[in-house]
Amino acid sequence: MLMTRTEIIEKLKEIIAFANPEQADKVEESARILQDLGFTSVGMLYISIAVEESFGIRFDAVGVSDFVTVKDLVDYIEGKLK
Amino acid sequence: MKWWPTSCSAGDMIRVRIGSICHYGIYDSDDEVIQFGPPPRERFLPPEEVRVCVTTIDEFASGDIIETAQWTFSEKLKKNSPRKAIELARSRIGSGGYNLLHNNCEHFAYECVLGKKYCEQEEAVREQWRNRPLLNVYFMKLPETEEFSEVYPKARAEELKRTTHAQLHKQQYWVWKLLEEGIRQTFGWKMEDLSFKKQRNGKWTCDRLYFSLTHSEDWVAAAVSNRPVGIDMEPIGSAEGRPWDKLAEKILCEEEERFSRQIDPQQLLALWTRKESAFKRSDAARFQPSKISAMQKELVTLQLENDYLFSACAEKLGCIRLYQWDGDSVRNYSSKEWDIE
Repeated sequence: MLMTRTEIIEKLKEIIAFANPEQADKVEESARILQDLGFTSVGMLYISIAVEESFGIRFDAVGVSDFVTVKDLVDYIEGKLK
Repeated sequence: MKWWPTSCSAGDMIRVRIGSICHYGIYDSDDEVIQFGPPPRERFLPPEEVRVCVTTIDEFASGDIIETAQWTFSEKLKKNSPRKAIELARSRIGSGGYNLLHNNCEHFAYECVLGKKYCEQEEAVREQWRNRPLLNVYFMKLPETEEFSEVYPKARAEELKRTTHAQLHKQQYWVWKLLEEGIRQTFGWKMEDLSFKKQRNGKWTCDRLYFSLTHSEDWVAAAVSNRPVGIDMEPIGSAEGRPWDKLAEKILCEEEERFSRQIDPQQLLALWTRKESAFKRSDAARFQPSKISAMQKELVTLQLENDYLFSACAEKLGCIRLYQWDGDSVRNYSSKEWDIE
């Protein structure tokens, strides 16, 4: 499934909005997932699972601290979709 | 299986709660608990550094309460013996391959005890994601073409053939095609994999999802959801020219009486769409507008960019998303909330 970077970010915003509605407006590529968007480790688990389900990808050896910013996550998803 | 803060025996699956997550291990003795990586108290290690290792019960617990898995009788028949569980755990000491989602400490512990990977925490989150409230509404302007392809199911196709009014036929055809696209976009399902049925009150239903359709002039809309939903829309321009003073007394209920004192055509049109959408969400056989409150909480009215008034009735309106389909691609569709007060 090919998606543009903009489409990936829009879908990610929806995921983050579900996980933490108050942070939905703060989602931009430079935002740090833990520090700026306030996600805990369980929140990262939720986002990771939601990303797998939404994009139809599977995370490889993923740790909580692997994705510092939204950009890191978008880059990973983009790479997986290619 | 349940978790209980009780004493441990060799081969037991144990866990300790750290904040909102749990860390799992296999107990052999107070000096030897086998775990996949240390408990993430200070920080999560990078996955490539995580190894199956041995620790003491005191280090494993670090002051938190240890819980031991308590198996049902039938589960005990299926699980490995304590000796086998410990053998399996020990055979993995030093191995890596950690993955937060697919190969974590819980997967490891279950694999040792039950012989297969399982993670209740992961399953619970997946279930929560799959059951999250979904409400996507798709809009489409009727295309110029007069070519119509087959629709599914057959009963709907036959219903369409019986519609002789050209404009109505076009609306009914395209709203169904829009529904098909909406289902594909929202759930990734094909119409052929679903079962549709027309109820006695004329409403179409589906076995795996909820939907609601509406059409007006040259626009159609389809809402798809995993919860009951009803939608309706009307062009704002159609508010003028109707005898609202006479209609008001027929359609308004007691709590809406104030709207009849000073007739505002657009406001009454909005109330009408709200009542229709509430009716469509319900299983009621007859539409009786004066018996439906347009002021209930589970209603929202929006003014769309095509100058239509659109109302939706659903449980979790906060998740509503609007899109427009042009036959090829989907884009976000903008709107602003209509102040019903």
